Amino acid sequence: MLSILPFGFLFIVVLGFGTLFSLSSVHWLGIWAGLEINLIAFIPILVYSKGITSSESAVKYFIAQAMGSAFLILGSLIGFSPSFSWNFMDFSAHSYSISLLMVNLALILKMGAFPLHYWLPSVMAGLQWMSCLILVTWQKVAPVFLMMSFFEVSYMFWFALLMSLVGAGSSMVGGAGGIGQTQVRVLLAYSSIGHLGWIMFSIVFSSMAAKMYFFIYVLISVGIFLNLWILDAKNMISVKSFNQGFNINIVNILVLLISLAGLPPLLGFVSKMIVVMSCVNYDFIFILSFLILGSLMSLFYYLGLFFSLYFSCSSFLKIKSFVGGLKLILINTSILVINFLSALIITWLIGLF
Amino acid sequence: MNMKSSSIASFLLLLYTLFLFPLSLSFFMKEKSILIDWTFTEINSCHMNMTILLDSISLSFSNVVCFISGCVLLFSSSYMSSDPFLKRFTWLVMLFVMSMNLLVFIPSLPALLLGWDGLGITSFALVIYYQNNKSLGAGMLTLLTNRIGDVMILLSIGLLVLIGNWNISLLWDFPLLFLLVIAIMLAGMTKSAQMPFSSWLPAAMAAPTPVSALVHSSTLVTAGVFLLIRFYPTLSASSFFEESLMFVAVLTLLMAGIGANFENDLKKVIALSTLSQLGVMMMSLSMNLPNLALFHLYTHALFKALLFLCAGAIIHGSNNNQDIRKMGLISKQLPLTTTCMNIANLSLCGAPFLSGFYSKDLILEMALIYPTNYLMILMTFVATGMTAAYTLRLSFSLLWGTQKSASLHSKHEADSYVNISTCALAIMAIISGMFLQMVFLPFEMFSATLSNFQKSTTMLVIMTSIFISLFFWKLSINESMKFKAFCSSMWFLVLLSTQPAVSFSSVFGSKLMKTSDQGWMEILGGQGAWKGSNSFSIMIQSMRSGMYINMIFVSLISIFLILLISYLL
Repeated sequence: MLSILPFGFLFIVVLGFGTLFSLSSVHWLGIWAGLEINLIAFIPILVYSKGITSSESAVKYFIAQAMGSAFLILGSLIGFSPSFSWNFMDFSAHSYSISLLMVNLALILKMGAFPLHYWLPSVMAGLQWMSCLILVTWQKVAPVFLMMSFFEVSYMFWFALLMSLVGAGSSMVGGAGGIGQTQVRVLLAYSSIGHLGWIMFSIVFSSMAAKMYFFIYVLISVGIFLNLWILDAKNMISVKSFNQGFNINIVNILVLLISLAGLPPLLGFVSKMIVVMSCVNYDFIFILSFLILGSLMSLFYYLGLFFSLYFSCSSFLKIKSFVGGLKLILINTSILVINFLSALIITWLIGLF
Repeated sequence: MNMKSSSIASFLLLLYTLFLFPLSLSFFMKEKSILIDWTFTEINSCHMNMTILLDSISLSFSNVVCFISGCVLLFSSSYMSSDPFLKRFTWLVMLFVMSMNLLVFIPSLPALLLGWDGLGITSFALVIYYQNNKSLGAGMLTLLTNRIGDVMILLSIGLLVLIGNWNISLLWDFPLLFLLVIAIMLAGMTKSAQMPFSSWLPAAMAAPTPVSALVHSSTLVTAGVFLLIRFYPTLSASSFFEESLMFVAVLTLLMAGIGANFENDLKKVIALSTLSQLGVMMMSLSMNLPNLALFHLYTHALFKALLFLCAGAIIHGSNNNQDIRKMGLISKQLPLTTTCMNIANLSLCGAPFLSGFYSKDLILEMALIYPTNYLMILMTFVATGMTAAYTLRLSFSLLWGTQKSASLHSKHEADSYVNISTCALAIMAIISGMFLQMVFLPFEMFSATLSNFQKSTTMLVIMTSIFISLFFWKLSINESMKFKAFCSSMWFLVLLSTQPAVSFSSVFGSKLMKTSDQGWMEILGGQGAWKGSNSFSIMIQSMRSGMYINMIFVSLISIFLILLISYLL
């Protein structure tokens, strides 16, 4: 897709560079600059298809991110006044709590978690599949890992409580928002909000768990978005009118949907179990029930999508009738296989913790 | 050679009996018991054990069961010869024998449930063997009453989690022991049809007569007694066990004895006499005499199976008529069967030197010296008299009375299957009492020192009741209908245990379904959750569908609100 346009690779490289630069910085100017570079590189990727909806989404995305950046720089500047240091390491321990809060709200806005999640579904509604994939995976890396580094530096109770509440709220909103949703991309946007909630919650207790969760979420998302892109399933109605028999893509989507919902034999369950395992010893176990409630609600719409896909297929599995090249099939099958290896992964992880 | 399936099965069973007999005898003589405990797998320090207990009790019980079932299957080669599904019948009976053996040999409670539940299911399948509504009703009553016992066993398995050991013979005292005792007692009472649960036993007579002979007289119903015997060391430790069991047993004894005098169905009379003998066994258990209970169990099983087979032969010969008012003068028509039946009847009454005499007489004498109250003794002896009375009534109307059936009948005694099985059982009914006393008694020191009057009480009571029943036979007394209804419906137990239980549970169930399953549970469960999440979702969706600038505004406001709140806090 992107290879048609010569500048596609350039922007993808810059996109990656922005995130890495932001994460590698020790002072706030670098962090802010990295995020801005990332944003500037992402906008052309959003509008490459020249559709009116993508442009609209790009503008919406830009407004939200610009606002987030503004708050980030404002918060860090407020933190500068007591400590006279723009260094990230000195920041959280010696600054006003208001600056810390403002910076974190900016990050929440940038990633699209609970109180400030409004932009994410409407942006995703208009985007192409590839852009959606980048939006829910790579674009989350910088805010999530920055948030994680706050907890690496110091641990404050009120801050931990706030983050877990954000996580719980995200999970609930992500669960409830997708019910009754017919557009598949909006549905996946809400699912992304829900999973972000789990990640936010696990950041508080164990950065290892959050990383594992994020990695597994990315893995499943890659599989789902690639397959949906191949099938070009925009909404549930179009899903229902496929009528082309089971092919490998549909089987893949079916399995990955259940995995995303977190049902036990599959990989999605592993990530949720790690989070639960990491938080059982702490005080916030009660909040976990809200997270689980949210995933329960999201299970409802995953299954809705699952069944409308499943019953649209008229005949049994025909491996021949795949769509897409050999590489895609390799990616698909490898993701599928990894999804079924959860038992092994769990035993490995239990040794790890 | 074209043998019937039932004959093959019976041959196998009799062969097994023959081989087992010396073995069980040696276990008796040497007082040996072998416990085989095979751990076939172990998961996370939880052992999966298969336990088999070989001792004198289990071996001899298995011996008796297999002998009787062998005879009964031999009998059914004749009785069920015109049945199109003889093979199925044989399989069912063999399954029954298997579950009985599982019950006998396995002392571990969860595994014992295998045999216990197997008995319940096969007995249900055998009761509804003749497929009609009446059989189904009887079968359901049987199954559901036995189900109570199953639940009690399940409960006791749950209770035994507390001590982490389910081996019956290796239990010790623990805080909830009284609950275990109650559960096991209730389980034994349901299987052995004791007082509140008695009504299924006469109802189960809907089964084919050989099944009644095997299942509902000699073996299945004794499973309850057997369970209590196995559990006896644990049960006797609790204070209330003896009194309550004795009360129930004596009431059952009396109720069954009176009821049998009012019953006109041949099979039901015998069923009620079984019930009263079960009462006798339970009574001996409640007097700290488990071995004597086992003794009576064996002798009773042998003569009761004989009685049933003779009754079956008579029923078979008189065109499937079971009503004793339409029979008579069978002693002339079936001399051999009559002889066997007389042996069984006399043994049941406790006539001297027949098998019943050795066990029953001993139990009654022990009752006389056991420190209990006068009422119990009185009821026991009245019931004993009743036994003699209904036995005599049966003989009168069946064997010696004038012929009341049509003169055209098909009674004959040329069937070797019937003759061999009845004669074998008759021999056992004669000698088993003497034999078992020789084997059993040395191990239990009975010191029944009775005065002459007490010693002769049993005989006196039996003679008196025979005299009274002879006297009343000619006399038509004007019985009160209410009294008759009370007695013949097992003290209203038949009426109480069918309709009220069914209608209560069905009405309660439908009410519960309306109010809870289709009412509150729906609102608090699926439908309500769906509605709630749907309205929540609509609320969230409506935020997305508005102007984008509004959303940004909302985000800004929420950021400032959060900051403000944190500042204020």
